Amino acid sequence: MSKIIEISSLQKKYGSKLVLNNISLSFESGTIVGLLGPNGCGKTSLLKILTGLINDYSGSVLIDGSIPNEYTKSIVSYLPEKTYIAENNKAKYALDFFEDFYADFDRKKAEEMFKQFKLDPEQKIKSMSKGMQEKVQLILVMSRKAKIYLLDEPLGGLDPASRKAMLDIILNNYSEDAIVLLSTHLINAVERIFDRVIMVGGTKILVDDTVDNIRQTTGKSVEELFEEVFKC
Amino acid sequence: MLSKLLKYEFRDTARVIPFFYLIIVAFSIMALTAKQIGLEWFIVTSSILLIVTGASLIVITFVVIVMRFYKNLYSNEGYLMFTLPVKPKQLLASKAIVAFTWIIASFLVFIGALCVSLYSLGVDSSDLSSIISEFKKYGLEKAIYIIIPLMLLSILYFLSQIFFSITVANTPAFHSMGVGAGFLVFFATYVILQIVQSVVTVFIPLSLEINLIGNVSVSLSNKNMFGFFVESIKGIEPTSITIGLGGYLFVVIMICVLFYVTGRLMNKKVSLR
Repeated sequence: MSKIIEISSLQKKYGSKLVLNNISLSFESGTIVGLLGPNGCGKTSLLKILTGLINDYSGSVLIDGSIPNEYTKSIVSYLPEKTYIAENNKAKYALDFFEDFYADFDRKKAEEMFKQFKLDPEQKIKSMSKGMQEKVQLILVMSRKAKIYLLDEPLGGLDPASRKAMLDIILNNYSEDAIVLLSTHLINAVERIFDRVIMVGGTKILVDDTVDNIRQTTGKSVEELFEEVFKC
Repeated sequence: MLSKLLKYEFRDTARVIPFFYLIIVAFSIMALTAKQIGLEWFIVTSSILLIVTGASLIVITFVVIVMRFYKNLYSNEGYLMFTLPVKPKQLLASKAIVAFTWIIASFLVFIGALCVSLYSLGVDSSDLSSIISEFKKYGLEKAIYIIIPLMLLSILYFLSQIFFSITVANTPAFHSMGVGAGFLVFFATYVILQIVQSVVTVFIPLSLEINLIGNVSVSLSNKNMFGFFVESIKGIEPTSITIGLGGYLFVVIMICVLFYVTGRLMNKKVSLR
């Protein structure tokens, strides 16, 4: 399979603080990859570089053969940690917005998911709970038929029932030929959906392997391996 | 994509600014009603209120534009805007076009409010005609053709400085300074540009020369303003006024430079917190 994302010798600093050092990775389509690591380890920075939100890095990042630009933005569906849709607007406004700007946005699918999760498109975003806002955003992101889904902590701050609903949204809606790169520190909740996991810590890639391989070679679950790798 | 960006930019800003236009309309009706009733204190109060509100409208429009630019691009909403499949310069263009349009609209509303106030206060068209004829007497009636483009240029210049400052303040070098960085960068940019503009206005040998002897005439000249100032200081009675044009050329160049640099920074250096 062709490599949809190729990263080589990536380095990112914030001032004098090195966050990512000499990172080289590649990703193929058709997989769900877990990007794991403790808070502040550089997961979000890596995703922001892939989305084109951070441009001051060294090394090479290619997405479908291009450096992050307006083409790569058209094939990347990104869910940040933050509420990025305007809070003063109704959810319907966000549907209109996505439909206008993303050619791969399936409005019908999004509206069906709104109904499924009992979300009212006429409700203002700011009057929704945090969990509802996150569901709206995830529905918008997963209603795109993108080649790459970058999901930054999609489960943070959600109760267990909502987490399951969110995972269902991801699993039921990503394109089979796409790649999902999901960052989280709630490993137990999402371990079952990963094909491959990457553990980031101390500016480097500490583990990069398939879930099956990890289980076979270490005899441990991903969460157990994570605890071992990052034990204090 | 630019047309789509413009559509959403107009839609979002149209929720705030026209609300203040409605307030001006309400005060205008009040001032006209006061004139009909003929109560002196009511006429004066409502007319002054209308002028003050009209002037405030300009400030409010600028505040809305600044807040919109910052919030939509550099707060959480920026995570969506900067990941849209559009070029950063298209984002910038949409903000600039919409902001410019609203400022012009607000100025027009302000002028309308001013006319209603003057009418309520008893200034009629004959008074305005006499002011215009005074201008004509000195051959300055065509000044309007210079004043309007200069006003438009000033608006663009101010916008370019605002957008530049907010964008610079959101580059990694200024992250530790917080929101205050925007004000600091704007102040520094404004002061530096004003100093350079003044120097260029005085010393560049390109000017408008207004002849004060006989029939007033205006012509392009290759003199600079420095000589005019020296003569004025020496107390020599001037036969003409020299207005340096170098400053205006500088403004045109700086508008292009500031918008270009802002677009480049948005593309390469901006890092959302």
